[in-house]
Amino acid sequence: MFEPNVTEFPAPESHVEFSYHSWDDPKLESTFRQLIDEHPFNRKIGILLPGLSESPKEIKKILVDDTDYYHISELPLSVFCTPVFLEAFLQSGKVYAISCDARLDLDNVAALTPDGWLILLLDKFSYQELQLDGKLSAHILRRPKERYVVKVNLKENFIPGKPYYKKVVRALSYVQLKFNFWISWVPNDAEVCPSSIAKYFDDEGYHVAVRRTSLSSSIILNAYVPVIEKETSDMDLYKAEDILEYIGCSSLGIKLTEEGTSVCDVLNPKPNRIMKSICTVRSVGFFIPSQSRELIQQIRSVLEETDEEVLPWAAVTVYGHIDSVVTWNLMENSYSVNGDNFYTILITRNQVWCYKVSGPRKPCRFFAKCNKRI
Amino acid sequence: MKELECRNWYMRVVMEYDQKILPCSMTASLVKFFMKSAITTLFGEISSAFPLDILKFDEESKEVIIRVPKDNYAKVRAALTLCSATMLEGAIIPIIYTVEQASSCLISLDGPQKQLA
Repeated sequence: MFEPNVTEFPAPESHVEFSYHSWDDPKLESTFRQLIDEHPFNRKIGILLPGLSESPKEIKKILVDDTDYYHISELPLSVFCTPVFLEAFLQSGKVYAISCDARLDLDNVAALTPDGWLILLLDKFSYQELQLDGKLSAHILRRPKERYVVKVNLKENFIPGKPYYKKVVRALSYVQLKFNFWISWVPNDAEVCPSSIAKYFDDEGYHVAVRRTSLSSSIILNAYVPVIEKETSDMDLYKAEDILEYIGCSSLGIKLTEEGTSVCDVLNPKPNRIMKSICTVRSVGFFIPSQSRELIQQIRSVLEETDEEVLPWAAVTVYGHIDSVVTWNLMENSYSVNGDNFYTILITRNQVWCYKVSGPRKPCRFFAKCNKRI
Repeated sequence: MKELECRNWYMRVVMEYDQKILPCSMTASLVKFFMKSAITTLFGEISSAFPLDILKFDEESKEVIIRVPKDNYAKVRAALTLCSATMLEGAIIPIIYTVEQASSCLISLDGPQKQLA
């Protein structure tokens, strides 16, 4: 027997990735696509504006206008497979739907991605009852010990009347899997109203409620703000980490000192200068990637209109839903100590710094189990 | 994208104590002392000698945000979870810590929070 390691207790695996680009860098578009467009379910947006005492109206407008989403209670999954829904909503637009009021690490959860993937994470009993093919989940840390991921593509080869369609519909109608959903729909045709999806579900007899995006802001007075200079290709990554820590401190209302105290050795990143105020705007809702893109463009134009002495830079953090079953590019999310899946984008007049924070990628199973047939 | 090495872990901890039993009002230094002694009790002096920074202490809500080195995170969390009381000037002071959020990124603590049922 090997000697057990009883002195070292490593921290859970977590990943912070970083890249920086100038605004005219051709790679910026692909980074944005990977970072923003492939992250469908966003719950919260935090914006840090050093130097301002109030957030500009244009930014508030983007966060509040046309960001309503719908809460649908007790929606059975078979509704997503009806020919009317497939044709009217899935084929003619992008549907963003995610189960809310369900905990990723304990309950059954579901999501419908804009690419048409219906993804379910189920316990063993529901999975066996469902009789659809699935894989053992990569992250099982607590009870239930066995959980399975089932993926069904509702956009490709999913034609009403065909055998596969019949099989899926039969399975989803037989097992009454019901979830509360947050739902948002972006039609391909700009003349169609996005609220049609709410009307459809209301007419079908489900309880639909409109949820509005909430907005709050806070301010720190007389604080140090680091000066972000244009970086060359050999940038010190420790600096990037310090700036991320600084953004976190300011968002949480922590004022850092220059010398450190007996209780806290966290210092302001250097070089820095003192500014009258730092404004933080927080918005909770259900945001889709195009809204994040629009927000970033708007902040960039605000930066260009404002003097550098007034607003040196801005940072946007977009938090994914912590109980979301998938994160970037349909990768499985896990909730062990946290359900971290978010990105921070720091915007200056000539540069963009992108941070991507995600949870463990290696399968972490508390109970060893192979992916065998049952 | 390049991988950043996270050197620290951050925790949002809520403390439960009775102010009347304490000889003085709770301050950030006292919180640090209590946490360090909780770590000493469970893991000994070496583990408690690692840095522990109190980033924020709110006396009203009894909420603390702390920063610990990555290698010491598991020990600190275990020590805080198991701690039920601390000795101060010969008296036993009951203190309970609840870790509400923990992350390798400080900004994550400002994000959406899971409701403890």
